[in-house]
Amino acid sequence: MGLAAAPATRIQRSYLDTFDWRLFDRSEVLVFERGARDSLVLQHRGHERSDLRVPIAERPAVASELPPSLRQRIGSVIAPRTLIEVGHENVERWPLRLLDDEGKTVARVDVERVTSATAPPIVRVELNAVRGYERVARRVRAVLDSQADLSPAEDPLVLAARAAGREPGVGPAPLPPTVPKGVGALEAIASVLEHQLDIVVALEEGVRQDLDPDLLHEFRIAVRRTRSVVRLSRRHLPDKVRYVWDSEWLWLAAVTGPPRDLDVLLMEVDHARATLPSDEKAGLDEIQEIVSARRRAAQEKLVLALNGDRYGTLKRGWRYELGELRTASGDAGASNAHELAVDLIERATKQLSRCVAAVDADSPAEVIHDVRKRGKQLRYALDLFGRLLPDKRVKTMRKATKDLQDHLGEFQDNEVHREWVSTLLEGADMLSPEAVATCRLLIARYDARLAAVRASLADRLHQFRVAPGRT
Amino acid sequence: MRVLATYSIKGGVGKTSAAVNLAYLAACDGEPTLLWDLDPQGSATFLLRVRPKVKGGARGLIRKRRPLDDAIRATDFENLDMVPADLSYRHLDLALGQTRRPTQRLATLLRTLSDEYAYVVLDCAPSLSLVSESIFAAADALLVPMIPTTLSARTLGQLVGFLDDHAKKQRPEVLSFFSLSDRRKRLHRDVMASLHPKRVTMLDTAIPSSTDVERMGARRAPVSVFAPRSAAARGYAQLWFEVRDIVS
Repeated sequence: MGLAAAPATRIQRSYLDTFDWRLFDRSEVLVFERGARDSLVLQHRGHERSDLRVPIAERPAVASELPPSLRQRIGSVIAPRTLIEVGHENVERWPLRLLDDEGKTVARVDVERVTSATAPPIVRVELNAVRGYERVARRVRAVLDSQADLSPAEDPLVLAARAAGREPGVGPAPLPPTVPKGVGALEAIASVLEHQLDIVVALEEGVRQDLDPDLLHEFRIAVRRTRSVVRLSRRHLPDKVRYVWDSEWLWLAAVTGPPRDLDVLLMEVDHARATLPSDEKAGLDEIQEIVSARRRAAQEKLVLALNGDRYGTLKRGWRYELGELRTASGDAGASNAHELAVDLIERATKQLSRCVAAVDADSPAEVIHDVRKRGKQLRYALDLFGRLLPDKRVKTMRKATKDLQDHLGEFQDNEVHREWVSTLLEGADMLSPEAVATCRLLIARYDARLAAVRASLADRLHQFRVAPGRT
Repeated sequence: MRVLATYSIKGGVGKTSAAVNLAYLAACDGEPTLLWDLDPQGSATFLLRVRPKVKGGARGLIRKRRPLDDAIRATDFENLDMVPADLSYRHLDLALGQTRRPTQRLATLLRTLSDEYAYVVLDCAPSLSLVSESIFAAADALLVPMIPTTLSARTLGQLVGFLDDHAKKQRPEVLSFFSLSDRRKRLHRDVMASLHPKRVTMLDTAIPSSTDVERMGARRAPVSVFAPRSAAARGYAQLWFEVRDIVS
């Protein structure tokens, strides 16, 4: 056996993952190393596979920017999320290789001096087994354990992530609170709404930095859920909670709407790129550029809003209001959380049923949209208060609404896309003939989809009306 | 996963050099690549400094007593693993003959690795046998090096005839290229200009006869590692681009 040393190298190491730790959850570690040769490394924890190292010039931000071999392995895990830097290390590395009699590397020992912005420097000795020679690595480990004064190091990814203020495996949104059935109705509402506010606060930095489209999506869901719960439980709530803050939540919903719509439209452009015949997508690049520019402008407005006083006041004021609500006594409608849950879910179901009764396949888009909003209201009530009811009942109700909701969701998405692309066409004199042609093609596509949704709407509405769990 | 086999009925035509260099270049592209040295002589294994030993031997692998995964060794080159040769491969025919569907056996074994590798390169021993049929069934393409001589051209014809007779259902694409070529020799020039075999794709790249390729044995590494600017290294790089474009 022999030992070979290579020259010391300096590396900047970025650990990449999605904001909700999709790679970490699958025991995959993706590292972008900037050094003598920039490369992307995929390591597998817990099973014997050689690391995959691919030269790359730029840090990838989305699955489609991964080199083909990595895209094939982890592309479907990451998409449609964005890759963000979850931890960072500056490393000075002294690589050592243990060689057998043939001069073949049979184990690697890297001595690394690691520094990060927030943690004190450490020296780490990393023993890397070479596939097929694991026994050698075990022997080296035994020697290091017995003869070197080393203490076990934490997983480098975990260490780097914690130094960056992240906990691996734990998403940014806090877990929902457990609301006991017997707790007072107002306290239950306060708990649920505080949780939504916690989600908004936890996600706001990611939204501000535009780390991943899904963060904004989740942020908006928390906003919608807040408004939905307040409306649905209005008879239980004091006036201040019912009316004063609603305009503020409506403002937040409005300011987050355009960037989200444009995110969805960008996904739609990607979809069109994948599905349109090649001779019909000449204008897609231009459309994508315009939509991306509008998205950037909408993001700037959103960041201004999130940095502004109005948003700060909303957060502080709303939290204070919920604190008051939690300690308030008396409630006209329900005595405890269970009764409240029954009341809210029944109310949401009735409102949805009324809307469904008033709609048919020829109804105006606004009326169809209203059914969707009522459906969402019921879904949020089931999500947030369903745990206080028997599982079976909640499951049946979910099943009864899901199909209709999916259908109406498709209608709404196509309506929004159509509106955005029509707006683009209004400035047709600024567009190339190819882009105009592609816009028209897309609008025709949306019209066809809307017609198809309408054609099967009567059937979906009928299925909902006769569904067993509807009431 | 694409399976490429460097194959020729004739020995000494540059199969192993091509297998090692192409596998290395595939790995340099960032593609996880496995080189399986099926030749009991174990030259590819030697070139990559791996010991020519597979636990359980050919029989253990073919009868699936030991998973192929267990036989894989990482090489000293990133993204390139190998299954080393073993002296017992000289009885691979016998081991295959004792299984139920012998011609499908290699393909079945390789299928277990399809999630892990983008390319598998099989370095085959020169023969026409049951092992050959098994290789034909497993490979997407046969890379056939050919010295530009009359005898080599004749063996290519024999191979095509054998494929026509024995690999009707699963006929791999045959990609042939000139190897050990020397443009100073008139015979080489004539053969290279006149050869247009049927049902074979003749690649444009010719690997020149070069001492750098011979030095692989002394340096025990692909030629691009120790002589990256040599004509041989450039030839293999060009050959890899051609092969990659065709098989991907």
